[in-house]
Amino acid sequence: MPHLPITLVETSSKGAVVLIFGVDFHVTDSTGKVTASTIPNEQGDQVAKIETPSKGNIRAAAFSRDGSLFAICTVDKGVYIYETEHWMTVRSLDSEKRSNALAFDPSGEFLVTADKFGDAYRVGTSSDTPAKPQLLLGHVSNLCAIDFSFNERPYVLTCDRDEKLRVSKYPNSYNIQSFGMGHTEFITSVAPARFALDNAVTASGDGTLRLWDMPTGELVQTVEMSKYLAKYYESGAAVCSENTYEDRTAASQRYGVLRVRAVDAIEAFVAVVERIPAVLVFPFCQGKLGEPQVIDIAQPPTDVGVLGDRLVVSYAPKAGGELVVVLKYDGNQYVADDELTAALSLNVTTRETETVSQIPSIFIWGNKMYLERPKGEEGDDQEQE
Amino acid sequence: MAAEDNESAATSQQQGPKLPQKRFFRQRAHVNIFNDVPLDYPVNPDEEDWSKLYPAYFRPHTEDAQTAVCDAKRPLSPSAADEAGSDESLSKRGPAAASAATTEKVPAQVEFADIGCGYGGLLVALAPLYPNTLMVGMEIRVKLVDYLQQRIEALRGFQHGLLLKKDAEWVDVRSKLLQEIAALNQPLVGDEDELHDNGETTRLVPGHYENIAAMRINCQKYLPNFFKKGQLSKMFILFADPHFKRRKHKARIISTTMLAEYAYVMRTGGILYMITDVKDLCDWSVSHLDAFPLFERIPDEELIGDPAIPCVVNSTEEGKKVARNKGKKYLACYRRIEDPAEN
Repeated sequence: MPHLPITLVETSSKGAVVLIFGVDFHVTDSTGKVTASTIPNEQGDQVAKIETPSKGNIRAAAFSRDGSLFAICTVDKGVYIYETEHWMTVRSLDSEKRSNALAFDPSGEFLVTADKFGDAYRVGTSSDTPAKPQLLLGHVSNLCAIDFSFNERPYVLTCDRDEKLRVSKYPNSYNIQSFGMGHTEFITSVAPARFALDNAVTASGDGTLRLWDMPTGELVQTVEMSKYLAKYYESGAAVCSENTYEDRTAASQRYGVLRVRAVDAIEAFVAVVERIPAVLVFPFCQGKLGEPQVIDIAQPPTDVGVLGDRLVVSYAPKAGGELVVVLKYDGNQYVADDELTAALSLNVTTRETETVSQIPSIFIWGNKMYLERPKGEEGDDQEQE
Repeated sequence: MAAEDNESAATSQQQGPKLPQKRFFRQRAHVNIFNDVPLDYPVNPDEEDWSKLYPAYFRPHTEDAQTAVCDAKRPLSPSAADEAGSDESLSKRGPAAASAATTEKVPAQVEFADIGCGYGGLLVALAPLYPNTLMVGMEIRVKLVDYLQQRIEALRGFQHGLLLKKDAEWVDVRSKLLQEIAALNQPLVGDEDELHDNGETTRLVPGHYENIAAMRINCQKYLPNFFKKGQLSKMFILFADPHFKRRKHKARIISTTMLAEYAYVMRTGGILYMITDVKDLCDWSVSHLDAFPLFERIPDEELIGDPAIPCVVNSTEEGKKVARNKGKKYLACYRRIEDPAEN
């Protein structure tokens, strides 16, 4: 029987790797040994049992900067915070709306959730703080990504489906430092970096990575993914599917960037793109993204996590296929890390399913509603109540 | 309405500009701002082609973008010499003078925004008071935008025609304003000829209505696509949709999260004018504005002499409707201040 694919990868500064599939997740150490899991363990007491949070699939997850806290949010509006020593639940709450992304603030005192109604709320991570989340900021849109910069006076970065990166001060987030505007589709991911304090990179459904100057909101650089990845469509390694009601652009050769993250150890940014069996690593030099190394992988990715100078890539489902692959930096370029890949393959299994479940494209929620409506209803934009 | 019809009929017997009629442009008052509607909006403020809205101030992007150049064919706002008897002109004193002085040096840019401008009464009233300041009315209802843009183009057309005549009379902005300040204290009577509503069609006005325009946008979503940080010196939120239901409160034009965006596009010292006839909405707005760290309430006595105030109170269609029904209007003005949390 096929196994559930891993959809999200999160890594901590302490070397933990969280692999998320459906409603469950495993935690491994940096050698690939499972140390905690939501699934009752079959290998004895070595594995801490994590309380299974809810019935809803996990939508996003994040570690605090020091790696001592971990949080997830689920599609049924649950938010759960764990401490990472014994993996006990510190706090669980129901958010008002479904959260799409979350991030701990730099101190780890607060968790900030970003919801589909455009609002970001923050809640204390210690159990003696008020359990009611407080509104931090809001967009009139659908929030897709959130993170904090590494500046001494940090910015909170929120990205929305209407193409905007908002850079706000923190905690006085009513004070907007700048907007980063240039994307032409929803933003999926944002990556601040320790090695470029004033910069952030965003990933989008428009097939680009964009490098921003946060204090001014200036667009410094745009990287078109098609330049490096068109060959995957030409060779047939990436395939278009058919347009459907939910996904009106599925038949086009599009480059939906799933994730961008900073690789602090080698001062680079890594990105993965829906459908394309490759990982791109862009060195950051002289304030710009340089020519990337494009590393072929066996299957299209679902996410990428950064473990020191290693990259943990989860695979889109394929019967009998592997769940993850690890790449390591050999001082010059990225190559397969066979050792850790093998350890993870051996130790990590996910729940079995009847059929190989397809992971819905990011364009299904990223496309604007009116694209899905029959034509000629433009004037009918009044409230239906 | 009656006055408008007569006047436009009288002045457009020959071929010439024609004022549009409101009754052809009615649209339901409520719009769901969260709906995705295909709207034209620029990726960022530099991409917006303002020449379509202010042809006297901007060249189309393809030519010489972003500079204030006068079109030779289209006489621009009066130079000091022909400004309605210059010394008694209002623009010699008060905020108009200041803004005129600043805008002439730097490239032209919009400085006033009327959020939810409706039929544009405020813009038409303000245009001659700040003849060198670009103002934009933003409205999400497409029919109203069409109406207002046609109206502005007609008014510009009248002005153009008047400029060609040697002996055209200038409107006395100052006495007109004084009249209105006096009128502030007495409610408008039903059918009385309403000030402002039509704009001047028989006399020249400073600015010639070249400084106002209407655009269709969802302000709550795309404001920063049009304006840079600190670009606006005045923002007007007049008689907004009250959105009474509790679950619609996020859609209100003033909310904690929206105020952050308004504060972003406004410069320090800029003024936000808010007026409504709904007590509940006023209380809500005032409580949010009072709690918002980047805005500070302007005491009523400091507002005396602000030439924008009579326009805010009386010039809009909603404002007149309320006056006619002898309703009460609640005015609150706020100044954009520096962030107290920053030092």
